[in-house]
Amino acid sequence: MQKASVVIAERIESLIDLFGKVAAWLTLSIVLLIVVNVILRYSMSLGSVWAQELEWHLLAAMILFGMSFALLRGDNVRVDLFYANYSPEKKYIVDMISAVLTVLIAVIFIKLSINYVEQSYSIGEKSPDPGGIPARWFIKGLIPVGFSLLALQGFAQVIRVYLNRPPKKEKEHV
Amino acid sequence: MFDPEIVAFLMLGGFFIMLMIGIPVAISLATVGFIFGYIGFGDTLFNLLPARVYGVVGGYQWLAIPLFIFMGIMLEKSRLADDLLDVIGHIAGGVKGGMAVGIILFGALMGATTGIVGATIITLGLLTLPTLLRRGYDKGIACGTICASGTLGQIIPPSLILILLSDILQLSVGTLFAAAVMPGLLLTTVYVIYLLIRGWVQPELMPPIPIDERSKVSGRELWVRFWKVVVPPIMLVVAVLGSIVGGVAAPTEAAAMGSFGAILVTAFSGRLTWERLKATMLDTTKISALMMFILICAQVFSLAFRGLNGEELIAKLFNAVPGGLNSDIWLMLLLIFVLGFFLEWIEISYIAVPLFMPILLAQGADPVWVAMLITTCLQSSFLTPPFGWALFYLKGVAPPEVLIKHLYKGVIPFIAMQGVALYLLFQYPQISLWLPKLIGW
Repeated sequence: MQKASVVIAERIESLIDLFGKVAAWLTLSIVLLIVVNVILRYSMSLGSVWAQELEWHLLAAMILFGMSFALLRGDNVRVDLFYANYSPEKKYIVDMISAVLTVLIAVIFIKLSINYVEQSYSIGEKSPDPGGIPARWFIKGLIPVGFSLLALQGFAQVIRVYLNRPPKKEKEHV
Repeated sequence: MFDPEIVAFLMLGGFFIMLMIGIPVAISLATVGFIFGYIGFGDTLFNLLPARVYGVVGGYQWLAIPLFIFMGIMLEKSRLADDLLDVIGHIAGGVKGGMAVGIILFGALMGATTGIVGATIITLGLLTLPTLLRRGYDKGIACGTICASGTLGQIIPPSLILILLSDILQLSVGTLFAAAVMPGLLLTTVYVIYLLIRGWVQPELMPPIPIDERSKVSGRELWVRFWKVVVPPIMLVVAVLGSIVGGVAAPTEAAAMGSFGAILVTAFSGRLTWERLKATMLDTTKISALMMFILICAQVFSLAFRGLNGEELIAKLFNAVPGGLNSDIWLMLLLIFVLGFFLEWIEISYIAVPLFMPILLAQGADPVWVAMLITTCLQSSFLTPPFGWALFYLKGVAPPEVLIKHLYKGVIPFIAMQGVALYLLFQYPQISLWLPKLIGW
């Protein structure tokens, strides 16, 4: 049981890392894409709506793929005024609450955004500008994908926190 | 069934309790937002949420943020900071208090590249603090200087706060960048003058560095490095900022060119490696995705808070204070100052500022001017004991003999100077408004 849950957590984390790497490449791609767009526009007045829209499409993908990675590998922003001095038991409780809330929040976001994407898909929504990227629903569809990653990351966190829980004291009853 | 204002009030309270317990900020924002939004409205309210999320992730105006972060981290990886400090030490080390002045100038320059307060303070803390202490600098002065130097990054463009505020206040990024130039220089100048005078009056607190130590690296080698490694990135930053402030290029384009330029500059200094480029990409992702995640969670909060008429609650608070616009501005600054103890600048500018702004704008306050007051006030907030973020950053990397009381003592003069600067900016709005007007924003 314990072993199986470690494996699950590790699998999830390597998936999140993979998406994080994709997001990292997207940052460089955004830089290069904008540079090329700017150069083409200023030197030959070549500009396409398509390429300009791609700039923020890549940004959306970078954020949605990268946010779970940032939570997993980055510094979590919290007020550690009291947290830093907590006993291991207290830390365990706060960490567990945070992890469970992460999963719940992600699930609500998924539920809400799936309706939104379905609506966009059913009318075949595309860019309102002529020459824009035709599949507007596709980029919207990345929202539930991003939050599914977040739900998974939260789940892995629940496992990690549980496995690292402080040993129970004799007197305490659960 | 429920009085919305009471629910809104409980919501604020719940948010602070969660924060204090130590739940991560983003999770706290989303949790109270969902809970109190559902209490107030059932599930109709949150049908608006996906469109808001889409607005955050697909917002063209946000593109500049990861790009500026990319540029800053790339320049940091080019080890510009180390060389810059060597050069500054060589030039300024001979003057009483010269190293401290050098650190302020360094902070101003770093503010113009990364603008990430934590990064500047940690760099300075690791690279200069041990040297300063060994040379007999007073612990308080050394620490205070480093912290103040780091917070300069919040006001000197391209400050990320200004990008966020420009979106909230519906102003162009260029306007705010231009407006921040003079206040940023004002603060820098005030710090430098203070340190020179203090060094002149009490040289024992800031002794000059002996010539033999300064010339460990030969002057000639240093100049070569200066031209090859230090000058190009500074020129890059000046070009990027100049083109935004001057209205030549859109911030996003300038930032992308700046990032690309940073890669070239690093390559030119012979320090571009595959590992460094990859590390830059990963760090950019971590920092900007986390920021955007907080912004997404903030949408839940603001949707619910606004739905519950929380803004009325704030308006009532402001109405309860006697006096007109001026006392309202000072009340806002006071609230932001206190909030700055608990919250990072992202939440302050994205949640707190939109709550206060309509009240001030309705009374005819100039949004550019108010933005500068907010940014200056936030710096003091991040510097003020016992909660200031800058102090935590420095304490984390400081040698063990530096005690928290040295930090507290050291920042007090700088907080006082920021107070003076804030007062000047308040009394003389032209300081902020002069440059944008001159350029014609």
